[in-house]
Amino acid sequence: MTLNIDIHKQMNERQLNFQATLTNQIYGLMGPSGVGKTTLLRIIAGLTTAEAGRISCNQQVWFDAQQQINLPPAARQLGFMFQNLALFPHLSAQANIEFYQRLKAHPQKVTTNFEQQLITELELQPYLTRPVTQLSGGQRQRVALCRALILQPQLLLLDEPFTGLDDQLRWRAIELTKKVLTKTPSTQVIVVSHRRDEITAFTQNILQLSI
Amino acid sequence: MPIIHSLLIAFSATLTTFLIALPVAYYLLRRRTHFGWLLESLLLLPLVLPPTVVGLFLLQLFGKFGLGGRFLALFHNYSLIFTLSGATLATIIVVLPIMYQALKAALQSVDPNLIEAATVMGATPLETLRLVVVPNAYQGLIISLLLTFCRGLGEFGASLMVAGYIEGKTDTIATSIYFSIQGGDTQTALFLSGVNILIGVLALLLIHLLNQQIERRKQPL
Repeated sequence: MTLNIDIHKQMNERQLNFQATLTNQIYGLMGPSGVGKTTLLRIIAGLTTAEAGRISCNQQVWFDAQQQINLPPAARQLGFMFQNLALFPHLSAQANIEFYQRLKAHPQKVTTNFEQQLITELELQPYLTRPVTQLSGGQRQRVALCRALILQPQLLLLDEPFTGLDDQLRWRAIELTKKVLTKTPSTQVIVVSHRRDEITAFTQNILQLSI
Repeated sequence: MPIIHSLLIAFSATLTTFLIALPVAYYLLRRRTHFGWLLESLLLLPLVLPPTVVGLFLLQLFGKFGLGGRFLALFHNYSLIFTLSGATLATIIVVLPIMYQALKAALQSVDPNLIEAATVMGATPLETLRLVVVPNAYQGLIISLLLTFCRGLGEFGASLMVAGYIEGKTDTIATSIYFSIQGGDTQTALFLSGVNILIGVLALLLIHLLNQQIERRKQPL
């Protein structure tokens, strides 16, 4: 997959400019706090709009300011893991993972082999029926990853996915995430982190945002 | 009769304003529009006006010579003036800002990332409302209904202007208390006040319990 990004956005008192062509499977996005890492992910996802530029995935244009093209997030077929995980607190782990089944856009109602495989790989089986509010930080992180991957997106955006986990849990979560990502080679991944060791655990392809 | 009339008016006004204010509040929450402030100001206008001004406006509009009044007269000479429907309409206008403000606060309490997570997965705005927003804001939505209902129950100025006080026809708790005192019937006024206070206290108790639930929900995941 080839993801072309060339965007410009005014952020409070400075300009976010980013230009890259991504062809490998995994990229790490680094930069100091407030530089616009999350904003960049949100622009790629279509949750925030840039003032100028163009984003295309393979031959499909996702965003083009000049031609006034701006595909809605769902049409971009991506998975987004939010920094605060954004799990639906009123649902169980399984209902969070299978949330897509409640939507008209995804009529399939059966547990797929891929879903079962993901649940097994992420060691979520014992917690599926529990409300997400009763899960530990590491368990919630894995539920959020599973939910982001369940529809086999062409692009997975991970925004500081290991924030809030202690060191031991963080490295365990990184190992599990790496293992799962090797099972989904067709999914391109951008991982945002302010920690170089987290990023290099995944990839040597590092995108640096600087002020 | 005044108790039944008041309950009927408050219930109808609560339901109607909920159906008007929820889509508007949800729409304005999701979209930043140029005319959003105008729409919001229009909904909030009755809050900064004395109810008698709202009543006077409705009298002018739905009176014999008003545009609305002449239109309604086409249907079997129907008139809103001096009717329970007129009192209900006046109450709707007066309580609409309360419903809107309370609903807006309830919807804003939902983590925007939850809405975005649903959007990324392909949820339509209506699905997001039904599957994410309402389940995570239902306590706030019930509080909105209770506050509006209580305010509607006590509506006096605007409904008196539009519906007057006709015993057995347009009398409400608030107007009956006023006219009972005017007529020296303190017993009836006290009884009706007691009923109103009881309903208000019960509503506040429920609101308190719901607020406690909201506070518990705010504990970080």
